[in-house]
Amino acid sequence: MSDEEKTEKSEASPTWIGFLLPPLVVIAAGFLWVAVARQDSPGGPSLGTRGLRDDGVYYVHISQIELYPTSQDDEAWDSGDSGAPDIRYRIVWQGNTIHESATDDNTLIAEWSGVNDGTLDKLLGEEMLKAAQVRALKDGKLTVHVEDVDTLTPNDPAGTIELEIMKLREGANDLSFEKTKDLGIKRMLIRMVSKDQSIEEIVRKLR
Amino acid sequence: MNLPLPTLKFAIIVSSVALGIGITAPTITITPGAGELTPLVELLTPQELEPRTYSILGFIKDLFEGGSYGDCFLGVALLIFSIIFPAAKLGFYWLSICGDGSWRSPWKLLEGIDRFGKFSMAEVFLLALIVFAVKTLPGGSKADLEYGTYVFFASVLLALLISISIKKGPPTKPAPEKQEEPAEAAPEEPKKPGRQEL
Repeated sequence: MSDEEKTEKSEASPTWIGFLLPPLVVIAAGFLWVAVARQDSPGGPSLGTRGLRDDGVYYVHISQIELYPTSQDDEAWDSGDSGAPDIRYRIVWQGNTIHESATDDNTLIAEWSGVNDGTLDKLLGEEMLKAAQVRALKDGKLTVHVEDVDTLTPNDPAGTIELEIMKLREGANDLSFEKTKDLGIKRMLIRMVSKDQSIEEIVRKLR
Repeated sequence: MNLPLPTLKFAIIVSSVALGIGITAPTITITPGAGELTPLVELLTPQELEPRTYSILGFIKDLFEGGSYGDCFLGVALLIFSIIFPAAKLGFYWLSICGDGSWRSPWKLLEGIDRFGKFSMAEVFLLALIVFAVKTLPGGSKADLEYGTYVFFASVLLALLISISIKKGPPTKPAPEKQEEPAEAAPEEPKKPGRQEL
């Protein structure tokens, strides 16, 4: 290889790096878009995307509640075979209970669907949506009572959470809590879905 | 058409961003149908009739996960024509406008890209094929294009515009002071490989 060729090659190398710029921009734009879309999706990792619209009506659905392994008193939740709690929650808004969930038995992580779309539900004529409705008002509060349902003894409260509605975000709100003597709730996943959209879209987001 | 260099650079970056978004954003929504049995299927297995939205990248992923040779072949074709080739083409465009003319290899490769340029609408063609195939399915299945398609299409169109703008030849060395518009001088130098149309 002559000196001239060597020089030409060494001069050309940095220019070639420019070739990578557009593909790198493509990859970066793609990654960014995926990241934004994931945050936006209802099944996204943790947070909602935007604040609630003032005076807007929203469906509230708690899709998951996780309790600490032991109760507030550091005792087993249930004294039965499994010892795991039977979890149920109740949403109170403006002093009225607006939604009460079914009981999810023997679990530390209870899950509920916001939609009645099973065949049996349809045949029985159950309502499609299993979510409460609230209006997003300034200073509006939402209270969630969670309890361990016991058949023979009185229910054990797992804790009460009071949430400022306007601090919640549209989409999934992943909330974590420290254990205290009054609170045995570890985590709560609340979905806020605007009523101002098609029923198909609401169902998709609540499912 | 002879766009100024900064405009061309900007167009390449915009096209790259649009390509990145176009391949990851929702491209097509397929709503399955079961003809006259749709209400029954809706009652028994509603999940079967749920609309599904795909991005180009998601569609390729699904094809590879499909496992069959046919799926993999289509996946590879889509990967090459809708992602690798357009991205590489933009890279070569960048090289061709940002070089100082002292090197030749990229420009020779650009000639190669010119030949591949004949297939540059393949990605749109493939997408159209998918839409057509689904639209002709019986049972009321339908396919709706999402915004990702239009972003992707914009990237393709912009890339075409760029190729038209730089087809007059490689950038010349900045030496001659009188030569203010290098692209204008290109027709007088017939030996330059970049004169071929992209």
